Amino acid sequence: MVEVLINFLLNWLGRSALYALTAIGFTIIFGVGGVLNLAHGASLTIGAFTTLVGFQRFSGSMGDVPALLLGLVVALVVVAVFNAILYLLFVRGLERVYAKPEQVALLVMIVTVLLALVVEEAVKLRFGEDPQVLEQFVGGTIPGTNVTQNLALGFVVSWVLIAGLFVFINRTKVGKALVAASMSRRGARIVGVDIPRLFLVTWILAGVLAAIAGVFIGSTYSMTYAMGRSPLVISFAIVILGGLGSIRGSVIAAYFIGLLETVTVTFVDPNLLGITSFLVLVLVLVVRPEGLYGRELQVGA
Amino acid sequence: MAEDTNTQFSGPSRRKVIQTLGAGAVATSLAGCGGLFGGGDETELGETLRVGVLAPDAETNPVGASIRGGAKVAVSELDEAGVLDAENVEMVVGNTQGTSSGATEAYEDLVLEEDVHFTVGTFASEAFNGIMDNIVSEQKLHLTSGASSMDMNERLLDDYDANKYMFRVGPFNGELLGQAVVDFAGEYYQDVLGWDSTYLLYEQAAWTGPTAPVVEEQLGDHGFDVVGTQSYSPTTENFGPIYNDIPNDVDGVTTLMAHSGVNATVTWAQGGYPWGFGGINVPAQNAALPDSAAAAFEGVWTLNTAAPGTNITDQTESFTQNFLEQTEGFAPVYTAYLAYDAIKLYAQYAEEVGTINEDDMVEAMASNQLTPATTTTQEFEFYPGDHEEYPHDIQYSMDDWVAGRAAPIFNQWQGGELVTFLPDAHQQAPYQPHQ
Repeated sequence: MVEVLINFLLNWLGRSALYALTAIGFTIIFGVGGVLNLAHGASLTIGAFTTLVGFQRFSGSMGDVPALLLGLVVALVVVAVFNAILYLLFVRGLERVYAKPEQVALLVMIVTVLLALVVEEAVKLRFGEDPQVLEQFVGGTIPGTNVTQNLALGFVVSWVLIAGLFVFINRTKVGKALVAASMSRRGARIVGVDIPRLFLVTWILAGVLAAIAGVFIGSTYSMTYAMGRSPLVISFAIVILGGLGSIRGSVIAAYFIGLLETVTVTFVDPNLLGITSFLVLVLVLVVRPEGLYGRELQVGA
Repeated sequence: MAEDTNTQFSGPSRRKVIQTLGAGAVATSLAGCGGLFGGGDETELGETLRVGVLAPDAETNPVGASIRGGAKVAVSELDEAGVLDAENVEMVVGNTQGTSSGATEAYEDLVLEEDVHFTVGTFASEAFNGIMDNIVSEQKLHLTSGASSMDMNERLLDDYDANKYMFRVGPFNGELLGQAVVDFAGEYYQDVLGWDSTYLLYEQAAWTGPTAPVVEEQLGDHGFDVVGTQSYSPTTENFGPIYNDIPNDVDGVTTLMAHSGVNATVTWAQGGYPWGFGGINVPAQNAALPDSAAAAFEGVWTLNTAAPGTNITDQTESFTQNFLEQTEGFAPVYTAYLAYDAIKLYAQYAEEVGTINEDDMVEAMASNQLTPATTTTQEFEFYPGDHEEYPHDIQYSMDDWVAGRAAPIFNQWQGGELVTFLPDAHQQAPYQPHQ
């Protein structure tokens, strides 16, 4: 029984950590930029598959873990470029053409969902529909449990990045500018904040976090061209529960959704896995539509 | 969208030489006599026999690519040999996208726009179910080759005349698949696998609807313990919590999994679980699994219809070689064998009946008056049209597969390769117990 509980706890914590990593990027783009990036899952997919390509290319000459790390570095660069293009070409482009933020927000949703489909098709054409599995950073399980050390590493990395993000937002000028811009875009601009550059940083940051989550998902479970869909949907549930734009709320909501899923599968009925998150989503929208923490990062005027 | 694939050969073929000598006239006159079974006045076949091939995403999906590749091999051979008085044999591929609506659209395109004479293929049960109404209305023969859906059986039992144009070349229907798993377990779990206890784990999907109850009901009838049963959502990614419920002292887990097979297997491999893992695991049936995923399948065993390197009949290996040449080394999934069999069976039956008239073909095929055919998977006969359970379905015989005369075979991943360990007649390597 103790073993079952420990396995349950570790599965919950590990899984939730990956959810948090994915959802945070989704929420900061909305909190700061006021748009929903539906290509967020595509960043996760690009990150995982670029790492796979890098690993397969370099593992023969330098060993598995260095090749994996090198692949990851390349993947982060590729995802950063992808998100920079997303922002500069599409979001900025739309902002130049349309004056109303609601129009931009709607069109960004449409454009990003189309781009997500393009990425899926491209990955499908290149890699086919067969699932792939990424090499683990560290093999074996945590002694006395069935939870992999790789998932445990994902948990640690997730918390290091979350902590780093809090430090970045609270202690650095760019971070403070992010908060300022989320409160009032006009006010931030008046005090000299370069809004486009700030938003560019936000999009890149969000993409990088998603890519890292994708790499851990790909090495702990498996990866396909459609691997970005489920995390995107879960991110929706998480950010609505946590409060759109709230990083703290997203982290807590990620662990809550992860807990619900793990409890459902372990103690209720594994067949209900797909339902619980959406039930929560509906309940929150009805009972507390602003989520747990409302919007810490307010969209600027 | 349909994709035209005309398999023409350069140089004079045997068929064309014969045709020049007037054999076509002979064939026509024979056909004019109504053929062996009488009904039609003529073959209703022009210069070209057109085969409609229903496959999911043949460009990217190994199952779909295998259906297309298997069909290509069959069409190439028939184009060389001729079918009745048809000068050419061509195939057109329709993309089912693995969905009901996609299959319906593809089927309508093949039959109404491309004027195919009959159709083969489909894989997902949802896709096959999706075209059944269309088959009824178009009254074109469909030899299904990939889906285990039992809707076909139910419809035939319910209204035979309306649904009589459907036949299944393989795999076994859902209930018979379950029966095969149970028969295998009774025959080999203790003696070959060393399993004195097992735990049943299956995904809750359309295809396991008829299969899981058979396994659940009968698995415990063979002298070993069934310590638990668990179904789960096919969208499950994290199997850790599910595996928490499986006792560590169980010898092996009996699986029925398709969509979820890779994640379930990866979690099993990475988690260092002490129990063995096998049953029906659809990704494990794919000899061309990417290397990155194949590593996780080491030791996993699965029921399969056919696989490269195994000679179930004298046609299996030659087909595999022809397929590999055609696809430049892409290893076929079982749907390749079945698509090939379906087209070759149709041609053989048409020759014997003497017409492609659908009603005459159905009457002959459903009455077992035709010479039993040898396919890549067995000495082939359909259950007759008046069979009380499985009309028009591929026949299953445990005695035949134990003796190595028929599918299924049982494969295990060993050293990154998919090898056959049972039946003994086709063994490439003995079963390796899970360490």
